[in-house]
Amino acid sequence: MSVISIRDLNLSVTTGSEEKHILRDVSFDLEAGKITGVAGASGSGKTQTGLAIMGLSPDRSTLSGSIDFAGTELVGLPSKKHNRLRGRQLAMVFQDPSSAFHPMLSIGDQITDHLRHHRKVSKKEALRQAIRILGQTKVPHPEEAVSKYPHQFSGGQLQRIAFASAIICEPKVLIADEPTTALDVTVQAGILRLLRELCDDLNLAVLLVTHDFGVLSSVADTIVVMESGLVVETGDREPLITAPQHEYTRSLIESLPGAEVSPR
Amino acid sequence: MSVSATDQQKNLRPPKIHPLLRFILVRIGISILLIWGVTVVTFLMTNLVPTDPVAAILGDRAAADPEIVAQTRERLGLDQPLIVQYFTYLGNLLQGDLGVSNQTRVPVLESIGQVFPASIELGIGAILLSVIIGLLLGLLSALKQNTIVDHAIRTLSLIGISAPTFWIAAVGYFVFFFKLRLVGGAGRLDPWMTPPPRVTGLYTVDSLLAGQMATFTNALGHLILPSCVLALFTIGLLTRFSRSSVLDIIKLDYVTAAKAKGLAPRTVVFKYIFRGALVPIITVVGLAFGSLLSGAVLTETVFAWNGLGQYAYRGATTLDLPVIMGVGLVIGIVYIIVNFVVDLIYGFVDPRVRVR
Amino acid sequence: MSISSPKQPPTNADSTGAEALDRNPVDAGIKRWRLRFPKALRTPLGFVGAAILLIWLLVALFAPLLAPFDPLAQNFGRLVAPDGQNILGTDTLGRDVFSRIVVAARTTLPAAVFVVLCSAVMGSVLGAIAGYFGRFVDEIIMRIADLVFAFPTIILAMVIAAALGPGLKNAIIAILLVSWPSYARVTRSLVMTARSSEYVIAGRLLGFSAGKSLLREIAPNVVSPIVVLATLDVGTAILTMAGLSFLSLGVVPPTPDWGAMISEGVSQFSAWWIAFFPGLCILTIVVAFNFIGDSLRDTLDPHTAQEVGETTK
Repeated sequence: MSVISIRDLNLSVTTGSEEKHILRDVSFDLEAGKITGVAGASGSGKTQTGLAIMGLSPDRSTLSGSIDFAGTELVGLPSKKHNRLRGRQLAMVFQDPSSAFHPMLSIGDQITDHLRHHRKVSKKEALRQAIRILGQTKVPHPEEAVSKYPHQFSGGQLQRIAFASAIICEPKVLIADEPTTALDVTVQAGILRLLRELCDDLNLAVLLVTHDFGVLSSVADTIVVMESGLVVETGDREPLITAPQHEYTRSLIESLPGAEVSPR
Repeated sequence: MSVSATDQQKNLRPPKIHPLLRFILVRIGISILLIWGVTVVTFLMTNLVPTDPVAAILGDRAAADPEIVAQTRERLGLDQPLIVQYFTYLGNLLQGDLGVSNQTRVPVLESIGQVFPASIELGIGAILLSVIIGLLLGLLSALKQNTIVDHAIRTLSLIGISAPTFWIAAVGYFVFFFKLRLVGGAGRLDPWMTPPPRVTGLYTVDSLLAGQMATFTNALGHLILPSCVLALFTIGLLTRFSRSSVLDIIKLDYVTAAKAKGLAPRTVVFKYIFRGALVPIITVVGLAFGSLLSGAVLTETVFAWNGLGQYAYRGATTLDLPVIMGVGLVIGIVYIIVNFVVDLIYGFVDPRVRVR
Repeated sequence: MSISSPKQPPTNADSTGAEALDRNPVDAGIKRWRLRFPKALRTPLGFVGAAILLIWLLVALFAPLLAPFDPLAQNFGRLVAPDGQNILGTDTLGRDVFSRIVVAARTTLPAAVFVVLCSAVMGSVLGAIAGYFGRFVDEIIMRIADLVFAFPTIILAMVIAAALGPGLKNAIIAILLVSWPSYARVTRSLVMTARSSEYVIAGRLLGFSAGKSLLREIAPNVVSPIVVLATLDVGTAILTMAGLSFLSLGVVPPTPDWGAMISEGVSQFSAWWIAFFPGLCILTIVVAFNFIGDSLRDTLDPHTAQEVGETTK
């Protein structure tokens, strides 16, 4: 049974007198314990799909269709109610960890302020949990890390901290928007492994947004391919990679080094 | 950027001095260089004068006698090369000798010492008003971007920085004192009040220290209009700057990340957006203080506010060069010191400077 | 097939390549400027600013026709309140305030525009030299600029004007000396970025000298921020000039001048009109330049707009 089910999602943004369609009739599901990968070039609307689930679509945009989250309709949900789900049930990790943290607030503060807000736990208890969760995401020396500031960490460590912040309230859904793109190649694999572990251990429904098909081919269970706001192909990893149906999917796969696609 | 690389770097080259200390030392060095530059400027300006200072000192009859002129030149050291004269000037400055007013024959430093607290009192009042109002208006304007509120604030702040301060002072004085009698009139106190015993030189503070409530309310009544007038320009300045600073921050990932955590909108605005926008704003407060000093020179006269500005105004209108150069030097130095303090605050606020 | 590929798919690489082509700064710079200049004046603020400025230009141009009386003649009663004959009243010497205001526009406007043009040229040239040659030259020019910034504007202008002696010419020199550094800073940083940018290097590969590339390709990009800065600066120059006149360091009496008129009227509370109307003139004309400059600034791309800054000191 799917945790999130997106049906005929449309998003358009009005700038001046121009109306721009970002998403057209997007439909797919996210399932617990599974990583759903969305692939596509920049501007294909993959990031906006994630933001739509979070209720963080840009100003002056209109959203229609349906996003069903365990019985709750997220499209048109009042912002106050959506805010109660954000951070607690729906979590998100961003592309560039060095800009996703406030440079002037300590790590401990930033990964617990939503915990304190949602669960009303004490500062002390929140810090205790922060240290535990930093250990879970394999951040070195969690006790010291909580009192440090973002600039004292490397990109890979910060991204692990971002995952810690995302899962600290035990959410059901995790949206990871290009979580490895801004990182060194050497640490990318570690982050993907962490994502897989968290997904399995916590039974998370993960939406992994990336332009890098190689990333998806390594961790995703299901793959959604998007082009200019349209879903062109959906399927399980193995069949989609070995026998792509759509021309665009083929070009993505062919771009991978050593990839060989049998002619149709 | 990988984990091992940065760790290695940290182990290999431990910084010898704390970054904050180095930051402070560098800022002190720059400030001292700038202050030295300021003395060069005022010295050169004094020596640029087309009119012969000897003639100005001696008067027409004595200046006609070449022997007296030569004697005076020698006495004043004017026959020395310019560079020697500069070091004499610098030596005098270091001993606190800023020269003597041509008009009153009172040493410039003595007069400045007397009037300085009045300007400080006015400056503190105005900077507090402008920072509080400017930041809030800028934040409001940015959060309501492209709404009627935003347009109104932007237009008003543009008008605020377009008005000549001394004219606003005159209009304000005419309306609020002369017509409405809402505020105190000219000067720092009503004529029949005696100033409180001098501790800090700030009447509001001194009267409170002495427990003279009547004097305090009177001083406050006199302070309020000049501070508001003086603040008008800097409110416009800070509103515009904080608006653009907040708009820059709103776009950043960490604000979206904070929203994605489901924090209360109030928390997102004040804990994340405002705190981030504050850093660049702090650096502008020093600049705003400069505008306040300029404004003070032009407005104090209107309010008969016996401060540095009125002293400078009298010096300028009588072309009393030692006074003008003295005020220029002192204001230049105060401005540099204020900007140094502002830089320090910046260093303490931003962990990227504070913690290594 | 490798599992996690360091290589990006071609679609992405292609799109960034196309973007880079799109962003050819030369074409973009020229196009942006041509397209947006009139557009800026179509925003409400830009339009109001342009309208006010046009009125003032007409006033300055036709001042002799508009002024009903000789601005210097003391041919009325002293401190006459505004009435049918002297529509804005008379001053302490019995001169017609309206005539004096109108005639003063003829000195203030050209003087302000002139001083801003001069400081824009001087500052841009010095900034370009500093940015182009770097090192020693850069150090000297920019340290002098820092020194000018170490004084609040009107204070330094006051010091210079006092040293040179009162008068319009010296006031202009004083303002020129205090206002060039902001142009130098903007031009320097634009030249420095452009110097190391790919299109100048590409130009060198094609055989253009670096200097020629800079002139041909950077000039269009420098023009727009400098024009915006200059527009905002005319307002500042008018305010500084009025301030100097207020301190009796500007225009020498009896030549009519707004700042000097305010100075005269400040102590005359029973005759509010002497100071009120000249101040209103300064306000409206500075507002006009700030409205236009602000609208123009919004049409710059964000990065350049930041160079120009919210604050023109």
